[in-house]
Amino acid sequence: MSLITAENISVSLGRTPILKDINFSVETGETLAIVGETGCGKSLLCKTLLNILPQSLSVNGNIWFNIADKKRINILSSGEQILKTIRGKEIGMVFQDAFASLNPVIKCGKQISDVLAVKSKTDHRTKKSRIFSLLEIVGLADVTRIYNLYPHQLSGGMQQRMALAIALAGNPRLLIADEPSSSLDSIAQKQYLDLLNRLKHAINLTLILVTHDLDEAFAFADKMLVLYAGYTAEYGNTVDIRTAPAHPYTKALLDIYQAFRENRQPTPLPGEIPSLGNPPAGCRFHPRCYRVQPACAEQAPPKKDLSGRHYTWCFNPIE
Amino acid sequence: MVSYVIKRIAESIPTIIIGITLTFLVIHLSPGDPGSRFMDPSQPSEYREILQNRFGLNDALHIQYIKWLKQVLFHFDFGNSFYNGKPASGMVFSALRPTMLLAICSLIFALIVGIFLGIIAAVYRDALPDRILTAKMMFFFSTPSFWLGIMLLGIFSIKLGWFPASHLTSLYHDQLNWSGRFADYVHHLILPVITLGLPLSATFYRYIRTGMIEALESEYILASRARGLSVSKLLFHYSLKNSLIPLISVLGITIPALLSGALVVEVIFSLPGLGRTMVSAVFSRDYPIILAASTLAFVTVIVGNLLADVIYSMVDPRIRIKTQGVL
Ligand code: SF4
Repeated sequence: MSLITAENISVSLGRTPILKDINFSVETGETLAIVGETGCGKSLLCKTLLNILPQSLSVNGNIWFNIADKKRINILSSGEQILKTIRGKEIGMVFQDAFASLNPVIKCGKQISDVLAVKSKTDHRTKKSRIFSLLEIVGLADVTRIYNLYPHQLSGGMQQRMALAIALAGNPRLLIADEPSSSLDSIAQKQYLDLLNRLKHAINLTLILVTHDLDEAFAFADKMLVLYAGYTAEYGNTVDIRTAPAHPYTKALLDIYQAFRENRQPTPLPGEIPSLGNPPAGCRFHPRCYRVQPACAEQAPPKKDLSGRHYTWCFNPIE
Repeated sequence: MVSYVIKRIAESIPTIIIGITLTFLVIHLSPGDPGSRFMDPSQPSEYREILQNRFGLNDALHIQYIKWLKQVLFHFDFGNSFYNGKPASGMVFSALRPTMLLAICSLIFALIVGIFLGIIAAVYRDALPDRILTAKMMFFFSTPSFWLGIMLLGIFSIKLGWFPASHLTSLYHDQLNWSGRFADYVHHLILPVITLGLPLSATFYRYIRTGMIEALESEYILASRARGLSVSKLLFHYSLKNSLIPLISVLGITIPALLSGALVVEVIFSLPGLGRTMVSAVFSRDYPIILAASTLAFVTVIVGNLLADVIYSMVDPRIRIKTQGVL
């Protein structure tokens, strides 16, 4: 049974749909990469997975999470009491902006210990050694000093690691990392991703990695979900998508990626990313698509099963 | 931190001197003189001269000023009251106690009410409880304390007779045991504290409400929810601490307001405090008392501000680093 399964997730603000009919599932131990440009709804999707969206947004669909004993619960329809046992303990999350996600007036050690406290009432000494070992696991040296520092006293890379330590404090089985490396320089990015990968194997973590960088997705993910303006463009096995992209948008992303690899000037996509508040009708990609057909502007494209593990939503996919 | 405090104290001495100099000038240059205040109109006018001489008021103004400043700075002597001949500093200090009692109780009252209601309003933002509270608090915010005091006095002590209308203690206060005395104080202080504290709590309410709303919408609160922290932890620990920071900086500026408010409230409720002492000193042109009282008020305000700054830097770790960097 999959660890987490998202069924037809839609999020809307009033009558405006922001995310529409998102489906995916992640098996235990797998890594799913959610790929798309800034503003395609990736972060929103992550927050939906933990059911922490503001009440002004309405959410539909189901998110099934497999808790112990082959029992599964629907995160979107569970009460706060149950969610409290899921958030932080079954599913950990690292926010995109690590610094903003750390409380500025509470010391780092205390912020970790607060997550531990809700997990189990361990005594002070074991708790402290657990915090130290967490800090070491995420690659922070000089742990006794860091324990007593405030978030603003850490460097950007250390803040990112601190956020990761907090996310791991509750021993989650699933970790959602929302663009974990976007604020880091390229060396720190690489180190951080390596760390994630090592942890994944060391503690058998299932990972949902949100990124706009195809390099990251190809390097780490078993599966990919390509989002465009709140819609799924393509979903499936990473190798399949990499070798045979079916959706024109994925193809365009891949071409740009390829150009960068070969040190060529990439050809940018025509047009602009639509705003989520006022998306184009029909296929949201149609104003920018080179394979556009009359039907594309009229209705949302249907799901096409390409190989049983590779799907696209397009009227005229690349065969 | 210690050197910061010392530096601030050193910086505030010139401020105090300028302040009391201005007060000195204003009192001496305003019309009316103490001599004629203490005289019976039927007495011959030479008496007035004698009195003026005794008070040292016949010297040129700058000589009076230098004499007075020397006494104050080197001997901490503010002279004696024109009215009863007692040392002004002693009289003012003993009047300070009831004022401090009133001010501190009102501050605590205002903090409790303001913070508590501010949290409720932020949690129920834009819903009915928030709208009712905000409207009510706006009303108290714009209510002058003399009006509120007179209304409370009229309703709760004159009409209903629930609370005493004046003084800090009852006549039989000395015969009570300690718990009785405490209850007696509380009974006498309730109306004055509400009068002084309620408008202030409205200020605090606004800051806490805004701060809490800002905190509750912040990314770190969302992240804390994602960590599975309990609602009470989120509210009282993770959000409140952040929203208290702006409140502490307001505390510095509320101290003068608290003192001037206490002045009015003391007059309304006939409390024997600094305010009433000052008002009656102004009426009787009792210069030493006015000057001693205003010096004390300056010092209180400056100490209060300093205290607020120190607490601020203690609560907000980001400020502490800055001051350390500067010093
Ligand atoms: S549905 Fe049409 S417009 Fe949309 S991606 Fe496919 S071909 Fe292009």
